[in-house]
Formats: sequence, C-alpha cells, structure tokens
Amino acid sequence: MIRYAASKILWGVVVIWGTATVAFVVLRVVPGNPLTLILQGTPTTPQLVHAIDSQFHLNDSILVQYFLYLNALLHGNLGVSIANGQSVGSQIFAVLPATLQLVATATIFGGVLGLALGLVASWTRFRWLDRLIGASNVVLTSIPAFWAGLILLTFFSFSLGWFPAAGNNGFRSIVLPTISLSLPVIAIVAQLIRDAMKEVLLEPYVLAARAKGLSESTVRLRHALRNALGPALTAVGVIVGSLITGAVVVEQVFAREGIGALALRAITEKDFPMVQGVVLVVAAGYVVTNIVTEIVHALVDPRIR
Amino acid sequence: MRIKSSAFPVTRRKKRPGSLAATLVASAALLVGGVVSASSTASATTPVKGGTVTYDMELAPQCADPEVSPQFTTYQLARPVVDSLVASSDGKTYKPWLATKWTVSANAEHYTFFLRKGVTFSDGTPFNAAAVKYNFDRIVAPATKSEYASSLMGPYESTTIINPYEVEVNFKSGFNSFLFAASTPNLGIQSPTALKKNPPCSAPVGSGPFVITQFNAQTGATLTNRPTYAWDPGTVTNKGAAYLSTLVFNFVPTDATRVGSLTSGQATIIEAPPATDVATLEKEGYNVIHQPQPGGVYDMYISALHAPWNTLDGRLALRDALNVPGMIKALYDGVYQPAWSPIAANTPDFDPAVVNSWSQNVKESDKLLATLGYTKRDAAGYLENKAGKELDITLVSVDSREQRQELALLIKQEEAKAGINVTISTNETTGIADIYDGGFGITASAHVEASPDVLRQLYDSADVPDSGGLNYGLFKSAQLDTWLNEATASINPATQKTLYDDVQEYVVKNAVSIPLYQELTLNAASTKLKGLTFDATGYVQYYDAYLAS
Repeated sequence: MIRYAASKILWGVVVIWGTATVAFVVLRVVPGNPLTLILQGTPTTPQLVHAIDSQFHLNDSILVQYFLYLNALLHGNLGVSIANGQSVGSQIFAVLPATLQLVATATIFGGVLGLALGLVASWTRFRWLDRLIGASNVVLTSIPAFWAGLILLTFFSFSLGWFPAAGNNGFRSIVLPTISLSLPVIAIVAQLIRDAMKEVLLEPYVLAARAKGLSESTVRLRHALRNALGPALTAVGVIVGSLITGAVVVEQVFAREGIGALALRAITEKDFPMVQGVVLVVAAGYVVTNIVTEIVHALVDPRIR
Repeated sequence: MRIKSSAFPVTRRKKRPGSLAATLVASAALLVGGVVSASSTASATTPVKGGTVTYDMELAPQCADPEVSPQFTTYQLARPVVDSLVASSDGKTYKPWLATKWTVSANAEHYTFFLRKGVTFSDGTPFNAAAVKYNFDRIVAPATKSEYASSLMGPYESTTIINPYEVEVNFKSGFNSFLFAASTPNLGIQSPTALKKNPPCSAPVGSGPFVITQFNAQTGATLTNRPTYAWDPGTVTNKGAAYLSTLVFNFVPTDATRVGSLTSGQATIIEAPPATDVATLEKEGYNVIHQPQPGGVYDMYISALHAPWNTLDGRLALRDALNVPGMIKALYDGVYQPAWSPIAANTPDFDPAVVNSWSQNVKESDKLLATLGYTKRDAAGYLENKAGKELDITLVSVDSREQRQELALLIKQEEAKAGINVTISTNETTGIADIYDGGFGITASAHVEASPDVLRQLYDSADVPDSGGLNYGLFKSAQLDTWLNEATASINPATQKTLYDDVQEYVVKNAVSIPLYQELTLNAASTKLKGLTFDATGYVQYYDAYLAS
C-alpha cells in the first residue's frame, strides 16, 4: 500500500513539474518580448524595468531563468503580482479557503444527494421513478453553473428573498452557490451509483448473501454498495478538480471571494505571475485530489493495489 | 509616470474584466434609455438621518489605496473616507476643505495651503502639515509604486512645513492643475500612522464622513458614519455628520446579479446596469442616472509612423470619410454624445468653436488621396497607388464594452466607401504590443479627468507611452508643445483658456486625432435614495445622500 501511495505521489510531483514547465514556456513563447508583455503598456520607469528584469532574470539565458524559476517554486515563492506588487502566494492563499469551502460543500452536498438518488433509482420498483432520475441526471449535467446560479438567484434571492444575492457572509450566502456548483456532481454520482448497483446486484456473492437470509437493506447497503462505490469515487476525484474551475464562474455570479475571481481578474489584466500561480495551485489541487481518491479507492477495493 | 490608456489592460482608475483595453472611462455598456439629470435625483424633502445604502459596484479594487491604484472603483471607495485639501464640483472653481485658504505663486511653482485646525483622522491621530507632507512625499516615492496619483503630482519637488497648519508645495516647473489634482481622492490626505502601520493596498484611513469598518478586497466594504465629522467640503449643502448611518459597497461583477439585487431591494443603487435592462428599469420607476464625464473623449489616435497617414492630407482624408455624429446616433441613440474636441464639453476650457467644424466629405477625401497618388481602385474597390500598393490602415480596437467593436465596424464600412481598407485588430496580445511599439495605424481610447491638462498628456511630444504618457499617435509638434507647456505653467485663467483653445483648434484642424464620443457614468438607483450629488469627474458622492422614509 505504501509503495502504491508513494508511486502515485511521485507521479503527482511529475505532473506539477510539467505544469510549471508549461506555464513557464507559455510565458516565453507568446509573441512579443516578455518585458513588453509583462508591462502591458504600464507606464515604464527605469525602476520598474529593473524590478521586472531582476524578478524574471530576463538578462540571463532561458535555461538559467528556468532553473531559477524552479528553485523559487521549490522554496514556495510564486513571485509578485504585476497588478499590485504584492506576493502572489499570499494573495492566493488568502482566498483559497473560501474556494475550498465552496468546493467542499458542493462535493459533500452533491455526493450525498447523488448517492441517495442513485440508491433510490436502483432500488425502486417504479420504473418511472428510475427513468425520471435518469432524465434529471442528463438535465443536471447539461446546465451550465452560470445559468443555474442565475435561475436560483432569481427564485430564491430576488423573488423569495431567502438567501442573499452576493457576498461571503455566513451560512445563508453559501447555500445557492453550493447548489449551483453541485448539480453535475449530483447527476454523475447518481448515475454511476445506479448503474454500478444494478450490475453488482447480479453478482453471485449478492445471491449468496441473499441466500444466507440477510435483509435486503443489508445486502444492498453493506455488500453491494461497497463494490458499487468505486466508479463514483473515481468520478468524484476528477469532478472535484473541475469544480475548482466551475467555482470561477459561480464566484462571479454570486460575487464571492475566491480563487476564481482572482484568476479571472489576473487573466483579463494579463497578470502573468498571478495566472502562473493560480494555474500551479489549481494543478496541485487536481493532483492532490486524484492521489487522495486513488488511495481511498485502493483502501475500499483491495484489488486495485 | 502618468496615466494608462484604454488601449492598455490597466485602466486609469477603472478596470473592467472582459475588456482588455482598460480605460479611464466611465461605465460599462448601457446604450439605451433617456438621460435623467443629476438634479432630478435630489429632492425638496427634508433629509432623514440614519439608514443603510447598499451600492453594488461592477469591479473589485485591485488595490484599495487611492495613492497607488488608478482604478475608479478605488476612487469611489476612497471618496467618502478620505478628505482632500480642496473641493470642486466642476473642475473650475475650488472650495475650502481641509485647507481653509491657499495662495499660488505667479509662476504656479509654489502652492501655500493654510490647514484647518481640529481635524482628526478616524484613528484619532491629528491632521496637520506633517500629514500633508507625508502623503505627498509618499505618493512620489518609487517604493509606493503609485500608478496614477504620482502623475497627478506633476513636476513635484517638495513639501515644506512652514508651521503645523501651513504647508508650501513646490514644483520644479509651473504646474497649474495642482488644485484639480489636490481635489481628487487620489491626493486625499490619509492618516500617516495608518499608512505606516498597515500593509500595502489596505483600505484607506482618512478624516472623511465615513470610516471603513470592514473590508474584503474581493467582495466589498462596510462604511460607517463618523458622528463627529465637522469639516465638510464647501461644495455640499449638508453640514456636520453625513445623514446615512451605513454605506455598504459590494463588488458584484455579474450584471444580472446587480440588476436583480436592485429590483429585489437588496441594493439601493447599482453601477453600470446593462443596456438591455436600462429601459425596463426606467419603466419600473428606478432612477437611471447618466452623468457626463470630463476629460479626454473616446478618440482615435492616428500613428505618426506610417505613410500616408503621417501627412496632413492623409489624416484629413481619413476623417473626411467619416460621418461621426451619424455613427454615434445610430449606435447609441442619444445616450452617448458625439465629440468634436479631444476633450469633452464639460471639461474646463472646452472650446465650443470646434463644434461642427468638420463633417463627412467623401469627395474631398478622394481629392486628397489623389494628391497622395492613390487614384485607381482595385478589384475589391480599395484605392491603390501606381506601384499597386493598396491603401490600408490597421485599427486597433480590443475593447468590447460600450459597443466599441460595433463602432469599429461602422468606421471600417465608411472608410471602405472612400477606398480605404481598414483592418480591425482585436487580437489582444498583438494589439497591445502594436500600440506599445507605435506599430498600429489607429488606436482609440478615452481618458476621464476634470482638467484640460489631459491635453498635455495626450499631445505633448514628451508624453509618449514609453515615458508613461498618453500620446499614442507619437505626434510631434513644436507649436503644440509650446502652447501646452505655457498653459501648464500659467495661473491666468484667460491665458489658459486662449492656449487650450489654440490647442483644441490645432488638433482638430490638423486631424491629429478623430474624436468619436463623450464618456459618461451610469447608475440605477431606488427612488428612495435622495440627495445624490456628483463630483467633477462624474462619480456619486454620498455626503448629502439620505433615504426618504
């Protein structure tokens, strides 16, 4: 198990290194000289040029620049934002908890609701209910978070006034963003659980469990579900990564604090160090969730190891 | 360093996501609906004390320190919190504020301010000459990395403390727009104690009628009434503390969320409602307030680097092909007004003589282009010279707000009729690099500022983008330089007026740039909100504001 985990972590480090390299290369291959791109028409002064030269080591060879950049990354230094001269790392980590909170609530809410719906769909005797849940899953995965957010706002904030439209103030302000972000999680988890349950229930060991006279709920929840969870768990690992991306949009609609708003602003303002920092942190988020999922998956299902 | 252009990603005082080309401009899209004058939002009823006004703004500030940030969001956030030495509601006349009176030397190199006594910052520290000196010295210090306030300081040399309530601000050369500069929140006086203690870009601590009690750089700020406030600017009717007990500023980038917040009563006033909602909001009884903005209009700067557009005939031919008032009317239906001068009609020293001083004349354009050797049309209908070179020009138009891309297309169509092939470059990266290197044919931007000094930044040959200026066309004229520098150094209003008139007439006569439309700010407010006033730059002020019961 330790060997398995170590190999996954090593692979994760390689992926992050690759992302860092791509982020580095992209900044250097886009047209124009990096200084011009970094300045983006910002009024130039000798001090500013010097500051940027020394920050990016523009007078050194590309290879030297690359190793200096990797060295800075290893020391946890993500550079300085061009837009406001403050540390990229501190700005990202100041808002990261807000995004992680949203992603976590959306994952838990979506996972639990999806699990429940998937079980209902696989358990029910009513075919129409199974079909209804299946159809809803299709709809839920196709609704863009942006649109879902606006619809939820229109009903539950603008008309009913139950939840605030904007901001990060307390529990009520996270309800609608969580729902908008979790829709695809609900749908995917529900569908995967339903399909896996249907399959697993045909396995001989389920027959054996039933033959032992175990109750239907014990058979389903204790024996079948454990084996049916695998695909859903893997999917959640992948989805959590994409939820960080989805949070970019949701944070805009609900005017929430978070890495999404930071990224969007950095992109529109061509704040390269900030974009680079956000890309790396998001990539690291993907890698970490994937490693965690794979390890959890291996714990749940020993065949994986 | 001076200002930023709308051609560039960093806006002067205002940044808008989604539009690369930042700008100093007013507001977002909104192109429908009638104009409600500012006075119509004021009311004859007696002001009521108390209540909370929630203002949903479009953008979050990148840096909340007005001495650093060029953003209009920061400007608006700082205004209720930071007082300035002087106040102005028109950019022409100045009233006492933190300075009770002032004198200006004949060469405009020395300004002496006599400071109000008994003023304290909200952190309890006193306002005095040392505070003024600390702020001005800090703005120009390279370590501050000021992106706008430092340009407002002009040729600043030093501040001398004459006594605790008297300072002399000295300039290396005559600088007559310093009173305007001193009236902005960017040069407002912040608590030196707070500036030294707080990290860079923190929310400002000033002596204003409101105090920032909660601030989140991404989501918003809460401003609380300062009941002991007793040093109101001379431009307002209220005396003493402000009426509202709380001001909440939310940064809400999504248009639909702002509009929904207004109509559901969660916001009292919102910035930049989208064009599609303006008519509905008006119909539902909301006050939609268009406030014209002074300074540089949305203007097309023609590069002085490319033939034949670097000749007078070439530039005139380019302008003669266009029906500017027609295009602006067709596109904006009366909301945005066409521009005739490089500065807006409400800018001090605007020259009315240039209004209607040119009009579309395709025949004249043909004649001028013929003299430049462009006589025959190619298969596509564009003019070419004897060597077979097609008559073309690149228009860099990277900004999508205010229907600027549609405007660029209209320009392309009209120029095509005159045989000129306009290529529109919307590629942000190339566009920016092109502008930066002066490699473009035409680029357009606007530069809001309540002072005719913006003309110097736009046309002085020393103010090219490389040195932080706004002269994108890289136009050079010794005559213009002389007038602009004389105007900057003069404190005689009549002399200034004559010189700025000369400049505007020269720019128009020589088609140095082609003015398109005048900027404005747009807000939509609940009718309960009364007593809104606007500063010289067209931004909302809350000192006189109150909620009708």
